[in-house]
Amino acid sequence: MDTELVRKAAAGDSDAFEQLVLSYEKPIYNLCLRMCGNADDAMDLTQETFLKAWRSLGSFRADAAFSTWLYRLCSNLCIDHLRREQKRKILPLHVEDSDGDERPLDVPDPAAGPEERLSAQEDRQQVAAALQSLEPEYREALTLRVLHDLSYADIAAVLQVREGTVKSRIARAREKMREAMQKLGNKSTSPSSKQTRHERRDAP
Amino acid sequence: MTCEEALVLLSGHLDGANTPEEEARLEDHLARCPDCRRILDAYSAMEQGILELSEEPPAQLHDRIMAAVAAEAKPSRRRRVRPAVMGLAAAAVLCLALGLGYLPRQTEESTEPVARVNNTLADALPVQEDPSAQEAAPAQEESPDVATRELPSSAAAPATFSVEPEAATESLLVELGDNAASPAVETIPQLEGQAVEVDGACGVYHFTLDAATVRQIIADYSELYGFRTHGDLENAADDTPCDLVIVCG
Ligand SMILES: [Zn+2]
Repeated sequence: MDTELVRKAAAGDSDAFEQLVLSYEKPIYNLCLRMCGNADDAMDLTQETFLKAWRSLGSFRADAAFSTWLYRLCSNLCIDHLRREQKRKILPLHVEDSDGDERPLDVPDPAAGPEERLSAQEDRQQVAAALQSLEPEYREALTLRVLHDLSYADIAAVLQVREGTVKSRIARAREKMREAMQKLGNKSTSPSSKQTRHERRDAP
Repeated sequence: MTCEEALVLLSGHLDGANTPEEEARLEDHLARCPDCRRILDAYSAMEQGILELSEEPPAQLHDRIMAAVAAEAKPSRRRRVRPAVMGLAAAAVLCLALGLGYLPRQTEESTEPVARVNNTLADALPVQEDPSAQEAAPAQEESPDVATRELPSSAAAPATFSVEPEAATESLLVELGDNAASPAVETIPQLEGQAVEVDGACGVYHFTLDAATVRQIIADYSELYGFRTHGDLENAADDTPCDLVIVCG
């Protein structure tokens, strides 16, 4: 159980702390990865999260769940990282051509048949890009809900907002993500996909 | 039910968060609305897609983390708050904040007049940028008694601050509210890497930052940590040095 490991780790037992790292490095890494969007930064942020946890364990109070506390440390570090990165970040739905013109990412070939499936890898990239295009607070809430399987109550504790806020934030995140998927050309997310395809086919 | 309402319930449906009544209403809407049925399919596909984004951390990550941990000393306990001495600590910090806030700033710019030094918190801490006051000459030789910068000597609340008052022109005292069960100071990224004076016994932290950063911290974390602030920086220029004193309790 976390409580005993946390108590030992707070007393300086690095073996106990390592057990906690083993339990949480994957979910923390995945939260960082979804928040910052690349593996290098995600590794740095994961390391930073655990280092900060190790340094701060002395002031961790057992009345909060350790996991909640750790996710909150991680979340704050990620948000701060994103603030710092904000300026050189254009990413979401467009990439720049070498001549500087923006073009939509992954436009589906209009000539391709409607039943033609994207490859699994393309599919995955599209999901990741759509998620990445959401504002951080939406991305974070949806990631914690779906990928980390946290309850609304747990997410509320991590983000320090009310449960009602979590609920509406996640609902909005899903809708924003669906819209982003559509812009990226994923047909399965469009409620009126037949019509869209028809229009495309008629285009010169 | 409108489709817009249905979207919220669709999300709740996937999270298993709807009441039976909400589920029934949603079912009813879905039976009549092909658009929302397609959206439910899309949401379900997205759900699966997000789950498939889960990755194993790179193999070297674990060792990197543990190497960084090994390079550190034991987890710090010095920042623990001892509630019994908090009252005294807070009082001491008030003295500190008062003593610091209105010293003349040693730059060529106009500075806060020494006349502002005041013995009451309410008068002294909120900073007003009075245009006429800016004309007042900095009277460095009339600096407030240095003694105000020294904490009352007490076994329970040792005075451990060493401050550089000439660098600071603004002060903000922040007390953490009851919901600050977490290590608030450690989780505020703007404070990371900043030099800090720590009163080990009391959970009192003293930072010198620019006013813009302090304002950002207050804006970002007031709700989270239930900050009670004494003084404001509304009129301080962004680059004005500011003493930020945080009392955890
Ligand atoms: Zn509908």
